[in-house]
Amino acid sequence: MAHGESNVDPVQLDRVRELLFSTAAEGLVLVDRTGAIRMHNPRLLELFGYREGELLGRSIEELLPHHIRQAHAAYREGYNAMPAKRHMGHGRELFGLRKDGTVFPVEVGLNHFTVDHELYVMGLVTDITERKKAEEALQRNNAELEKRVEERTAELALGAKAVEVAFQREKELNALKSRFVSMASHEFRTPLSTIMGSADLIARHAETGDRERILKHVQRIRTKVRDLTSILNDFLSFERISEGEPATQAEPIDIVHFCIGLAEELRGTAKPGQALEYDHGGEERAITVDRTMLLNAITNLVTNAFKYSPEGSPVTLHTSITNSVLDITVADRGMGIPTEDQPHLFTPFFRAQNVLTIQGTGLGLHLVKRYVDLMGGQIDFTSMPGQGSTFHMRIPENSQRP
Amino acid sequence: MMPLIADERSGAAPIATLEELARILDGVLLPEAYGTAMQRVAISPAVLEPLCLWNPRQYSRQCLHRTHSHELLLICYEPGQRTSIHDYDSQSAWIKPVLGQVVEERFGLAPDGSLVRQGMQVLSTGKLEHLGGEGTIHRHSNPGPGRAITLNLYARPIRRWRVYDERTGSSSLSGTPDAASE
Ligand SMILES: [Fe+2]
Repeated sequence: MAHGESNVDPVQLDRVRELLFSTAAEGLVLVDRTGAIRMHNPRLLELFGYREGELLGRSIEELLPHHIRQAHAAYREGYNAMPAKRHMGHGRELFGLRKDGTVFPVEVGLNHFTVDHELYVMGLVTDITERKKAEEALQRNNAELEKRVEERTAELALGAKAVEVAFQREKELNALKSRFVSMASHEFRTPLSTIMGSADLIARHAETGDRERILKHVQRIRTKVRDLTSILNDFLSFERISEGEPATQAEPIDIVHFCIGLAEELRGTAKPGQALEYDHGGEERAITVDRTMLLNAITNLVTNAFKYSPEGSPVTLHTSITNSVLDITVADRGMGIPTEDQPHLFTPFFRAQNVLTIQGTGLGLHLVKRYVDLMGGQIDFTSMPGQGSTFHMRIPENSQRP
Repeated sequence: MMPLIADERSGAAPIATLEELARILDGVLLPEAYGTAMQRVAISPAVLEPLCLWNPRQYSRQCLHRTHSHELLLICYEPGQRTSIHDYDSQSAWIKPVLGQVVEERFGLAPDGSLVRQGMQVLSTGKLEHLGGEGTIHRHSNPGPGRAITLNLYARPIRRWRVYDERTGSSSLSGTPDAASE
Protein backbone atom coordinates (compact mmCIF):
# COMPACT_ATOMS: atom_id res chain seq x y z
CA MET A 1 0.00 0.00 0.00
CA ALA A 2 1.23 3.37 -0.89
CA HIS A 3 2.13 5.89 1.74
CA GLY A 4 -0.81 8.03 3.00
CA GLU A 5 -3.57 5.85 1.54
CA SER A 6 -5.85 3.74 3.79
CA ASN A 7 -8.15 0.93 2.97
CA VAL A 8 -10.22 2.80 0.47
CA ASP A 9 -12.07 1.39 -2.49
CA PRO A 10 -9.54 1.48 -5.43
CA VAL A 11 -12.08 3.09 -7.74
CA GLN A 12 -12.85 5.83 -5.22
CA LEU A 13 -9.14 6.20 -4.60
CA ASP A 14 -8.56 6.86 -8.29
CA ARG A 15 -11.32 9.48 -8.20
CA VAL A 16 -9.71 11.13 -5.19
CA ARG A 17 -6.28 11.07 -6.89
CA GLU A 18 -7.87 12.54 -9.98
CA LEU A 19 -9.52 15.29 -7.88
CA LEU A 20 -6.30 16.02 -5.97
CA PHE A 21 -4.50 16.35 -9.30
CA SER A 22 -7.12 18.42 -11.06
CA THR A 23 -8.10 20.76 -8.24
CA ALA A 24 -4.67 21.38 -6.71
CA ALA A 25 -3.87 25.05 -6.15
CA GLU A 26 -0.33 24.47 -7.46
CA GLY A 27 0.61 23.64 -10.98
CA LEU A 28 1.79 20.09 -11.40
CA VAL A 29 3.99 19.08 -14.28
CA LEU A 30 5.63 15.81 -15.15
CA VAL A 31 8.62 15.78 -17.51
CA ASP A 32 10.68 12.92 -18.82
CA ARG A 33 14.46 12.60 -19.01
CA THR A 34 14.57 14.73 -22.18
CA GLY A 35 12.65 17.54 -20.51
CA ALA A 36 9.47 16.96 -22.51
CA ILE A 37 6.22 17.67 -20.69
CA ARG A 38 4.37 14.43 -20.36
CA MET A 39 1.57 15.38 -18.05
CA HIS A 40 0.22 18.42 -16.18
CA ASN A 41 -2.80 19.50 -14.24
CA PRO A 42 -5.27 22.23 -15.31
CA ARG A 43 -3.78 24.69 -12.85
CA LEU A 44 -0.47 24.62 -14.74
CA LEU A 45 -2.27 25.69 -17.93
CA GLU A 46 -3.96 28.45 -16.00
CA LEU A 47 -0.65 29.65 -14.52
CA PHE A 48 1.16 29.78 -17.82
CA GLY A 49 -1.83 30.84 -19.96
CA TYR A 50 -2.00 27.83 -22.27
CA ARG A 51 -4.97 25.92 -23.55
CA GLU A 52 -5.60 22.25 -23.04
CA GLY A 53 -3.26 20.13 -25.16
CA GLU A 54 -0.87 22.96 -26.05
CA LEU A 55 1.84 21.99 -23.60
CA LEU A 56 2.05 18.19 -23.86
CA GLY A 57 5.23 17.05 -25.57
CA ARG A 58 6.83 20.52 -25.46
CA SER A 59 10.05 21.17 -23.60
CA ILE A 60 9.77 22.30 -20.00
CA GLU A 61 12.26 25.06 -20.90
CA GLU A 62 9.52 26.74 -22.92
CA LEU A 63 7.93 27.67 -19.60
CA LEU A 64 11.07 29.55 -18.59
CA PRO A 65 12.32 33.02 -19.58
CA HIS A 66 14.68 32.84 -22.56
CA HIS A 67 17.81 33.90 -20.75
CA ILE A 68 17.78 30.99 -18.33
CA ARG A 69 16.68 28.22 -20.67
CA GLN A 70 20.18 27.03 -21.54
CA ALA A 71 21.31 27.00 -17.95
CA HIS A 72 18.15 25.19 -16.95
CA ALA A 73 18.70 22.44 -19.51
CA ALA A 74 22.20 21.86 -18.16
CA TYR A 75 20.87 21.93 -14.64
CA ARG A 76 18.21 19.37 -15.58
CA GLU A 77 20.93 17.05 -16.97
CA GLY A 78 22.70 17.31 -13.61
CA TYR A 79 19.50 16.55 -11.77
CA ASN A 80 18.84 13.50 -13.91
CA ALA A 81 22.30 12.18 -13.05
CA MET A 82 21.70 12.63 -9.33
CA PRO A 83 18.03 13.18 -8.68
CA ALA A 84 16.76 14.25 -5.24
CA LYS A 85 13.64 15.66 -3.71
CA ARG A 86 14.23 19.34 -3.25
CA HIS A 87 13.19 22.88 -3.79
CA MET A 88 14.48 24.55 -6.87
CA GLY A 89 16.32 27.80 -6.84
CA HIS A 90 17.87 27.94 -3.41
CA GLY A 91 18.75 31.54 -2.75
CA ARG A 92 17.73 32.53 -6.27
CA GLU A 93 14.57 33.96 -7.65
CA LEU A 94 12.75 31.72 -10.13
CA PHE A 95 10.50 32.98 -12.87
CA GLY A 96 7.99 31.40 -15.20
CA LEU A 97 7.21 32.59 -18.73
CA ARG A 98 3.59 32.78 -19.75
CA LYS A 99 2.45 32.11 -23.28
CA ASP A 100 1.79 35.85 -23.71
CA GLY A 101 5.43 36.55 -22.91
CA THR A 102 4.91 37.93 -19.42
CA VAL A 103 7.13 36.70 -16.61
CA PHE A 104 6.00 35.88 -13.08
CA PRO A 105 7.76 34.70 -9.95
CA VAL A 106 7.39 31.05 -9.05
CA GLU A 107 8.44 28.59 -6.45
CA VAL A 108 9.16 25.07 -7.65
CA GLY A 109 9.36 21.84 -5.69
CA LEU A 110 10.98 18.90 -7.47
CA ASN A 111 10.49 15.20 -7.06
CA HIS A 112 11.41 12.26 -9.21
CA PHE A 113 10.30 8.72 -9.74
CA THR A 114 11.01 5.89 -12.09
CA VAL A 115 8.40 3.96 -14.03
CA ASP A 116 9.59 1.02 -16.10
CA HIS A 117 13.21 2.16 -15.74
CA GLU A 118 12.22 5.49 -17.09
CA LEU A 119 13.03 8.57 -14.91
CA TYR A 120 10.36 11.16 -14.52
CA VAL A 121 10.63 14.44 -12.72
CA MET A 122 7.59 16.06 -11.22
CA GLY A 123 7.51 19.77 -10.57
CA LEU A 124 5.12 21.50 -8.20
CA VAL A 125 4.81 25.13 -9.39
CA THR A 126 3.41 27.85 -7.14
CA ASP A 127 2.72 31.35 -8.40
CA ILE A 128 4.20 33.61 -5.74
CA THR A 129 3.32 36.95 -7.36
CA GLU A 130 1.08 38.01 -4.50
CA ARG A 131 3.50 36.82 -1.87
CA LYS A 132 6.32 38.68 -3.59
CA LYS A 133 4.20 41.80 -3.72
CA ALA A 134 3.45 41.48 -0.02
CA GLU A 135 7.11 40.83 0.73
CA GLU A 136 8.18 43.79 -1.32
CA ALA A 137 5.62 46.01 0.37
CA LEU A 138 6.84 44.76 3.71
CA GLN A 139 10.43 45.44 2.71
CA ARG A 140 9.46 48.87 1.51
CA ASN A 141 7.66 49.54 4.75
CA ASN A 142 10.60 48.26 6.73
CA ALA A 143 13.01 50.35 4.73
CA GLU A 144 10.80 53.37 5.17
CA LEU A 145 10.43 52.69 8.84
CA GLU A 146 14.17 52.25 9.21
CA LYS A 147 14.73 55.45 7.31
CA ARG A 148 12.28 57.28 9.49
CA VAL A 149 13.83 55.86 12.62
CA GLU A 150 17.24 56.94 11.34
CA GLU A 151 15.96 60.38 10.49
CA ARG A 152 14.25 60.76 13.81
CA THR A 153 17.35 59.55 15.62
CA ALA A 154 19.44 62.05 13.69
CA GLU A 155 16.89 64.76 14.47
CA LEU A 156 16.94 63.88 18.12
CA ALA A 157 20.71 63.86 18.17
CA LEU A 158 20.73 67.21 16.43
CA GLY A 159 18.07 68.49 18.79
CA ALA A 160 20.06 67.32 21.78
CA LYS A 161 23.16 69.01 20.38
CA ALA A 162 21.21 72.20 19.70
CA VAL A 163 19.77 72.11 23.19
CA GLU A 164 23.25 71.65 24.58
CA VAL A 165 24.65 74.51 22.50
CA ALA A 166 21.70 76.74 23.40
CA PHE A 167 22.07 75.82 27.03
CA GLN A 168 25.78 76.60 26.96
CA ARG A 169 25.05 79.89 25.21
CA GLU A 170 22.34 80.74 27.66
CA LYS A 171 24.72 80.00 30.51
CA GLU A 172 27.38 82.26 29.00
CA LEU A 173 24.84 85.01 28.34
CA ASN A 174 23.58 84.75 31.88
CA ALA A 175 27.10 84.96 33.20
CA LEU A 176 27.72 88.01 31.01
CA LYS A 177 24.44 89.55 32.11
CA SER A 178 25.29 89.16 35.77
CA ARG A 179 28.69 90.70 35.03
CA PHE A 180 26.81 93.55 33.38
CA VAL A 181 24.55 93.98 36.38
CA SER A 182 27.50 94.22 38.75
CA MET A 183 29.36 96.51 36.32
CA ALA A 184 26.26 98.65 35.77
CA SER A 185 25.45 99.01 39.45
CA HIS A 186 29.01 100.21 39.96
CA GLU A 187 29.16 102.45 36.88
CA PHE A 188 25.69 103.91 37.38
CA ARG A 189 26.22 104.95 40.97
CA THR A 190 28.70 107.79 40.33
CA PRO A 191 26.82 109.59 37.54
CA LEU A 192 23.52 109.14 39.38
CA SER A 193 24.89 110.76 42.51
CA THR A 194 26.39 113.56 40.39
CA ILE A 195 22.99 114.10 38.77
CA MET A 196 21.30 114.13 42.15
CA GLY A 197 23.88 116.58 43.51
CA SER A 198 23.49 118.90 40.50
CA ALA A 199 19.70 118.77 40.78
CA ASP A 200 19.93 119.78 44.46
CA LEU A 201 22.28 122.63 43.57
CA ILE A 202 20.00 123.83 40.77
CA ALA A 203 17.17 123.98 43.29
CA ARG A 204 19.34 126.01 45.66
CA HIS A 205 20.62 128.38 42.94
CA ALA A 206 17.08 128.85 41.66
CA GLU A 207 16.30 130.68 44.90
CA THR A 208 19.09 133.21 44.29
CA GLY A 209 18.52 133.27 40.53
CA ASP A 210 22.17 132.44 39.75
CA ARG A 211 21.63 131.63 36.08
CA GLU A 212 25.26 130.83 35.24
CA ARG A 213 25.57 128.22 38.00
CA ILE A 214 22.24 126.68 37.06
CA LEU A 215 23.41 126.33 33.45
CA LYS A 216 26.66 124.75 34.63
CA HIS A 217 24.75 122.06 36.52
CA VAL A 218 22.29 121.54 33.67
CA GLN A 219 25.31 120.86 31.46
CA ARG A 220 26.76 118.49 34.05
CA ILE A 221 23.49 116.57 34.19
CA ARG A 222 23.43 116.36 30.38
CA THR A 223 26.97 114.97 30.31
CA LYS A 224 26.19 112.36 32.93
CA VAL A 225 22.96 111.30 31.24
CA ARG A 226 24.96 110.90 28.05
CA ASP A 227 27.44 108.66 29.93
CA LEU A 228 24.58 106.53 31.25
CA THR A 229 22.99 106.30 27.82
CA SER A 230 26.29 105.22 26.37
CA ILE A 231 26.62 102.43 28.99
CA LEU A 232 23.12 101.22 28.16
CA ASN A 233 23.76 101.45 24.42
CA ASP A 234 26.93 99.41 24.77
CA PHE A 235 25.09 96.73 26.61
CA LEU A 236 22.13 96.66 24.25
CA SER A 237 24.48 96.38 21.26
CA PHE A 238 26.39 93.68 23.08
CA GLU A 239 23.25 91.73 23.81
CA ARG A 240 22.02 92.06 20.23
CA ILE A 241 25.32 90.98 18.81
CA SER A 242 25.74 88.12 21.30
CA GLU A 243 22.32 86.63 20.71
CA GLY A 244 22.77 86.07 17.01
CA GLU A 245 24.79 86.87 13.95
CA PRO A 246 23.31 90.09 12.63
CA ALA A 247 23.39 90.14 8.84
CA THR A 248 25.34 92.99 7.28
CA GLN A 249 23.38 95.45 5.17
CA ALA A 250 25.61 96.95 2.56
CA GLU A 251 25.01 100.39 1.13
CA PRO A 252 27.22 102.76 -0.83
CA ILE A 253 28.60 105.67 1.19
CA ASP A 254 30.83 108.66 0.56
CA ILE A 255 33.39 108.06 3.28
CA VAL A 256 34.45 111.74 3.52
CA HIS A 257 30.96 113.08 4.27
CA PHE A 258 30.25 110.05 6.41
CA CYS A 259 33.26 110.88 8.61
CA ILE A 260 32.58 114.63 8.63
CA GLY A 261 29.02 113.90 9.82
CA LEU A 262 30.45 111.61 12.47
CA ALA A 263 33.02 114.21 13.56
CA GLU A 264 30.26 116.79 13.87
CA GLU A 265 28.18 114.43 15.96
CA LEU A 266 31.05 113.29 18.20
CA ARG A 267 32.34 116.77 19.02
CA GLY A 268 30.06 116.71 22.08
CA THR A 269 32.05 113.83 23.58
CA ALA A 270 35.36 115.74 23.47
CA LYS A 271 37.02 117.17 26.53
CA PRO A 272 37.83 120.90 26.62
CA GLY A 273 40.39 121.74 24.00
CA GLN A 274 40.35 118.35 22.30
CA ALA A 275 40.22 118.87 18.55
CA LEU A 276 39.24 116.17 16.08
CA GLU A 277 41.20 116.22 12.87
CA TYR A 278 39.84 114.22 10.01
CA ASP A 279 41.52 113.72 6.68
CA HIS A 280 41.03 111.44 3.73
CA GLY A 281 43.85 110.26 1.51
CA GLY A 282 43.47 109.62 -2.21
CA GLU A 283 40.77 110.39 -4.74
CA GLU A 284 38.50 107.35 -4.17
CA ARG A 285 35.72 108.24 -1.71
CA ALA A 286 32.94 105.74 -2.47
CA ILE A 287 32.65 102.36 -0.77
CA THR A 288 29.84 99.88 -0.11
CA VAL A 289 29.74 98.77 3.53
CA ASP A 290 27.32 98.26 6.41
CA ARG A 291 26.73 101.89 7.43
CA THR A 292 25.52 101.19 10.98
CA MET A 293 28.32 98.79 11.87
CA LEU A 294 30.94 101.14 10.45
CA LEU A 295 29.38 104.06 12.32
CA ASN A 296 29.39 102.11 15.60
CA ALA A 297 32.98 100.96 15.12
CA ILE A 298 34.39 104.44 14.35
CA THR A 299 32.24 106.10 17.04
CA ASN A 300 33.57 103.71 19.67
CA LEU A 301 37.19 104.27 18.69
CA VAL A 302 36.88 108.09 18.53
CA THR A 303 34.99 108.40 21.83
CA ASN A 304 37.60 106.12 23.47
CA ALA A 305 40.36 108.32 22.05
CA PHE A 306 38.73 111.43 23.59
CA LYS A 307 38.07 109.64 26.84
CA TYR A 308 41.56 108.28 27.39
CA SER A 309 43.38 111.48 26.34
CA PRO A 310 43.86 114.60 28.41
CA GLU A 311 42.17 117.95 27.80
CA GLY A 312 43.64 119.82 24.86
CA SER A 313 45.03 116.66 23.28
CA PRO A 314 43.97 116.17 19.64
CA VAL A 315 42.49 113.03 18.14
CA THR A 316 43.02 112.19 14.48
CA LEU A 317 40.84 110.14 12.16
CA HIS A 318 42.25 109.16 8.82
CA THR A 319 40.62 107.22 5.98
CA SER A 320 41.63 106.01 2.55
CA ILE A 321 40.26 103.56 0.01
CA THR A 322 42.61 101.40 -2.02
CA ASN A 323 41.47 98.57 -4.28
CA SER A 324 38.02 98.52 -2.67
CA VAL A 325 39.45 98.22 0.83
CA LEU A 326 38.69 100.94 3.36
CA ASP A 327 41.48 101.78 5.81
CA ILE A 328 40.57 103.71 8.94
CA THR A 329 43.02 104.92 11.53
CA VAL A 330 42.09 106.54 14.84
CA ALA A 331 45.03 107.92 16.81
CA ASP A 332 45.33 109.72 20.10
CA ARG A 333 48.14 111.03 22.31
CA GLY A 334 46.55 109.76 25.47
CA MET A 335 47.43 107.42 28.30
CA GLY A 336 47.97 104.33 26.12
CA ILE A 337 47.38 100.70 27.08
CA PRO A 338 49.65 98.82 29.50
CA THR A 339 51.61 96.18 27.57
CA GLU A 340 50.37 93.32 29.75
CA ASP A 341 46.73 94.33 29.13
CA GLN A 342 47.05 94.59 25.37
CA PRO A 343 46.33 90.89 24.58
CA HIS A 344 42.97 91.10 26.41
CA LEU A 345 41.77 94.36 24.94
CA PHE A 346 38.93 92.87 22.86
CA THR A 347 37.62 90.59 25.62
CA PRO A 348 34.13 91.58 26.86
CA PHE A 349 34.11 93.48 30.17
CA PHE A 350 37.89 93.69 30.18
CA ARG A 351 39.28 96.97 31.46
CA ALA A 352 42.92 97.92 31.43
CA GLN A 353 44.51 98.59 34.82
CA ASN A 354 45.18 102.26 34.08
CA VAL A 355 41.52 103.11 33.32
CA LEU A 356 39.77 101.52 36.29
CA THR A 357 38.93 104.91 37.73
CA ILE A 358 37.45 106.12 34.42
CA GLN A 359 33.86 105.24 33.58
CA GLY A 360 33.47 102.44 31.07
CA THR A 361 31.74 99.15 30.41
CA GLY A 362 34.63 97.17 28.99
CA LEU A 363 32.37 96.35 26.07
CA GLY A 364 33.28 99.05 23.57
CA LEU A 365 36.36 97.49 21.99
CA HIS A 366 34.81 94.04 22.07
CA LEU A 367 31.90 95.47 20.08
CA VAL A 368 34.25 97.18 17.64
CA LYS A 369 36.02 93.87 17.04
CA ARG A 370 32.71 92.08 16.51
CA TYR A 371 31.50 94.70 14.02
CA VAL A 372 34.78 94.54 12.13
CA ASP A 373 34.57 90.72 12.06
CA LEU A 374 31.00 90.87 10.80
CA MET A 375 32.07 93.23 8.03
CA GLY A 376 34.81 90.75 7.09
CA GLY A 377 37.57 93.16 8.14
CA GLN A 378 40.52 93.24 10.48
CA ILE A 379 41.52 95.42 13.40
CA ASP A 380 44.87 95.93 15.09
CA PHE A 381 46.48 98.55 17.25
CA THR A 382 49.75 99.86 18.55
CA SER A 383 50.00 101.56 21.89
CA MET A 384 52.68 103.02 24.11
CA PRO A 385 51.71 103.65 27.71
CA GLY A 386 51.82 107.37 28.35
CA GLN A 387 52.19 108.23 24.66
CA GLY A 388 48.93 107.19 23.03
CA SER A 389 47.23 104.54 20.94
CA THR A 390 46.57 104.03 17.26
CA PHE A 391 43.79 101.72 16.09
CA HIS A 392 43.68 100.59 12.51
CA MET A 393 40.74 98.89 10.78
CA ARG A 394 40.70 97.41 7.29
CA ILE A 395 37.22 96.87 5.91
CA PRO A 396 36.75 95.23 2.51
CA GLU A 397 34.00 96.43 0.23
CA ASN A 398 30.87 94.36 0.84
CA SER A 399 30.43 92.38 -2.35
CA GLN A 400 26.68 91.81 -1.76
CA ARG A 401 25.72 95.12 -3.28
CA PRO A 402 22.29 96.42 -2.31
CA MET B 1 6.82 129.67 -1.61
CA MET B 2 8.20 132.66 -3.48
CA PRO B 3 11.13 131.85 -5.77
CA LEU B 4 14.24 133.74 -4.84
CA ILE B 5 15.33 136.66 -6.92
CA ALA B 6 18.87 136.34 -8.24
CA ASP B 7 21.37 138.94 -7.19
CA GLU B 8 21.06 141.65 -9.82
CA ARG B 9 24.81 142.36 -9.81
CA SER B 10 25.45 139.06 -11.56
CA GLY B 11 23.80 140.52 -14.63
CA ALA B 12 22.84 137.11 -15.89
CA ALA B 13 19.68 135.04 -15.82
CA PRO B 14 18.87 133.31 -12.52
CA ILE B 15 19.67 129.61 -12.16
CA ALA B 16 16.44 127.96 -11.09
CA THR B 17 17.20 124.23 -11.09
CA LEU B 18 19.88 121.98 -9.63
CA GLU B 19 20.49 120.40 -13.04
CA GLU B 20 21.24 123.80 -14.55
CA LEU B 21 23.50 124.72 -11.64
CA ALA B 22 25.43 121.45 -11.94
CA ARG B 23 25.84 121.96 -15.69
CA ILE B 24 27.14 125.51 -15.20
CA LEU B 25 29.50 124.46 -12.37
CA ASP B 26 30.91 121.66 -14.52
CA GLY B 27 31.70 124.22 -17.23
CA VAL B 28 33.61 126.56 -14.91
CA LEU B 29 37.20 127.26 -16.00
CA LEU B 30 38.27 130.08 -13.66
CA PRO B 31 37.64 129.86 -9.89
CA GLU B 32 35.92 133.30 -9.88
CA ALA B 33 33.18 131.84 -12.05
CA TYR B 34 32.00 129.66 -9.17
CA GLY B 35 31.08 132.80 -7.21
CA THR B 36 29.28 134.24 -10.23
CA ALA B 37 27.33 131.04 -10.68
CA MET B 38 26.37 130.96 -7.01
CA GLN B 39 25.23 134.61 -7.24
CA ARG B 40 22.82 133.58 -9.98
CA VAL B 41 21.33 130.71 -7.95
CA ALA B 42 17.61 131.29 -7.36
CA ILE B 43 16.38 127.79 -6.65
CA SER B 44 13.08 127.70 -4.82
CA PRO B 45 13.16 126.12 -1.34
CA ALA B 46 10.21 124.04 -2.53
CA VAL B 47 12.61 122.30 -4.94
CA LEU B 48 15.20 121.62 -2.24
CA GLU B 49 13.02 120.74 0.74
CA PRO B 50 12.10 117.27 -0.55
CA LEU B 51 15.83 116.50 -0.71
CA CYS B 52 16.45 117.48 2.92
CA LEU B 53 16.99 114.82 5.57
CA TRP B 54 15.99 116.56 8.78
CA ASN B 55 17.64 115.16 11.87
CA PRO B 56 16.44 116.30 15.31
CA ARG B 57 19.86 115.64 16.85
CA GLN B 58 22.17 117.14 14.29
CA TYR B 59 22.13 119.44 11.28
CA SER B 60 22.29 117.33 8.12
CA ARG B 61 24.65 117.41 5.15
CA GLN B 62 23.98 115.96 1.74
CA CYS B 63 26.11 115.98 -1.34
CA LEU B 64 24.06 117.04 -4.37
CA HIS B 65 26.82 117.09 -6.96
CA ARG B 66 30.53 116.42 -7.10
CA THR B 67 33.42 116.38 -9.55
CA HIS B 68 37.17 116.38 -8.88
CA SER B 69 37.10 120.19 -8.86
CA HIS B 70 34.00 121.02 -6.83
CA GLU B 71 31.14 119.71 -4.75
CA LEU B 72 27.72 121.11 -3.95
CA LEU B 73 26.16 120.38 -0.56
CA LEU B 74 22.72 120.87 0.86
CA ILE B 75 22.84 121.73 4.57
CA CYS B 76 19.66 121.62 6.66
CA TYR B 77 19.37 123.11 10.15
CA GLU B 78 16.48 122.75 12.53
CA PRO B 79 16.06 125.85 14.75
CA GLY B 80 18.98 126.04 17.19
CA GLN B 81 21.16 123.54 15.32
CA ARG B 82 24.68 124.54 14.39
CA THR B 83 27.93 123.25 12.98
CA SER B 84 31.01 122.73 15.06
CA ILE B 85 33.68 125.39 15.02
CA HIS B 86 35.67 124.06 12.12
CA ASP B 87 37.87 124.64 9.14
CA TYR B 88 38.79 122.56 6.11
CA ASP B 89 41.23 122.22 3.28
CA SER B 90 38.98 123.49 0.52
CA GLN B 91 40.48 126.50 -1.27
CA SER B 92 37.13 128.26 -1.50
CA ALA B 93 33.64 127.87 -0.13
CA TRP B 94 30.43 129.71 -1.01
CA ILE B 95 27.43 129.57 1.29
CA LYS B 96 23.97 130.71 0.23
CA PRO B 97 20.92 130.42 2.50
CA VAL B 98 17.91 129.45 0.41
CA LEU B 99 15.52 129.20 3.34
CA GLY B 100 15.70 131.03 6.66
CA GLN B 101 18.95 132.62 7.83
CA VAL B 102 22.17 131.47 9.41
CA VAL B 103 24.58 133.19 11.75
CA GLU B 104 28.22 132.99 10.80
CA GLU B 105 30.96 133.34 13.41
CA ARG B 106 34.63 133.50 12.47
CA PHE B 107 37.50 132.58 14.76
CA GLY B 108 41.23 132.94 14.94
CA LEU B 109 43.84 131.06 16.91
CA ALA B 110 45.65 132.89 19.71
CA PRO B 111 49.40 132.24 20.10
CA ASP B 112 48.61 129.77 22.90
CA GLY B 113 46.41 127.79 20.52
CA SER B 114 43.11 128.91 21.99
CA LEU B 115 40.23 130.16 19.87
CA VAL B 116 39.40 133.84 19.61
CA ARG B 117 36.15 134.95 18.07
CA GLN B 118 36.85 137.58 15.42
CA GLY B 119 33.46 138.41 14.01
CA MET B 120 29.87 137.52 13.52
CA GLN B 121 27.30 138.24 10.81
CA VAL B 122 23.85 137.15 9.81
CA LEU B 123 23.51 135.51 6.39
CA SER B 124 19.95 136.16 5.35
CA THR B 125 18.07 134.33 2.62
CA GLY B 126 19.67 134.76 -0.79
CA LYS B 127 22.85 136.40 0.50
CA LEU B 128 26.03 134.78 -0.81
CA GLU B 129 28.97 134.37 1.56
CA HIS B 130 32.48 133.41 0.49
CA LEU B 131 35.03 131.72 2.70
CA GLY B 132 38.46 131.87 1.13
CA GLY B 133 41.47 129.81 1.85
CA GLU B 134 42.48 127.01 4.08
CA GLY B 135 42.18 127.51 7.82
CA THR B 136 39.25 129.91 7.90
CA ILE B 137 37.82 128.82 11.21
CA HIS B 138 34.06 129.38 11.42
CA ARG B 139 30.71 128.18 12.66
CA HIS B 140 27.22 128.43 11.19
CA SER B 141 24.09 128.34 13.34
CA ASN B 142 20.40 128.60 12.69
CA PRO B 143 19.10 131.12 15.25
CA GLY B 144 15.51 130.19 14.34
CA PRO B 145 12.65 130.46 14.76
CA GLY B 146 12.16 128.48 11.50
CA ARG B 147 14.25 125.92 9.66
CA ALA B 148 17.23 126.99 7.58
CA ILE B 149 18.63 125.51 4.37
CA THR B 150 21.89 126.56 2.74
CA LEU B 151 23.54 125.58 -0.52
CA ASN B 152 27.29 125.23 -0.01
CA LEU B 153 29.77 125.01 -2.86
CA TYR B 154 33.32 123.84 -2.21
CA ALA B 155 36.13 124.08 -4.74
CA ARG B 156 37.89 121.76 -4.43
CA PRO B 157 35.87 119.12 -2.60
CA ILE B 158 36.65 118.85 1.10
CA ARG B 159 39.05 116.11 2.15
CA ARG B 160 40.13 117.43 5.54
CA TRP B 161 37.91 118.65 8.34
CA ARG B 162 39.11 119.91 11.68
CA VAL B 163 36.73 120.33 14.61
CA TYR B 164 37.84 122.76 17.34
CA ASP B 165 36.62 122.69 20.86
CA GLU B 166 34.69 125.81 21.70
CA ARG B 167 35.24 125.60 25.44
CA THR B 168 38.82 126.76 25.14
CA GLY B 169 39.83 130.16 23.88
CA SER B 170 37.92 133.36 24.33
CA SER B 171 36.00 133.73 27.58
CA SER B 172 32.80 134.53 25.72
CA LEU B 173 32.69 130.94 24.52
CA SER B 174 33.90 129.01 27.51
CA GLY B 175 31.43 126.68 29.14
CA THR B 176 28.79 127.08 26.43
CA PRO B 177 26.90 123.83 26.12
CA ASP B 178 26.69 122.46 22.60
CA ALA B 179 22.96 122.08 22.13
CA ALA B 180 23.23 120.63 18.64
CA SER B 181 24.81 117.41 19.79
CA GLU B 182 22.55 116.75 22.77
FE1 LIG C 1 31.95 125.25 6.87
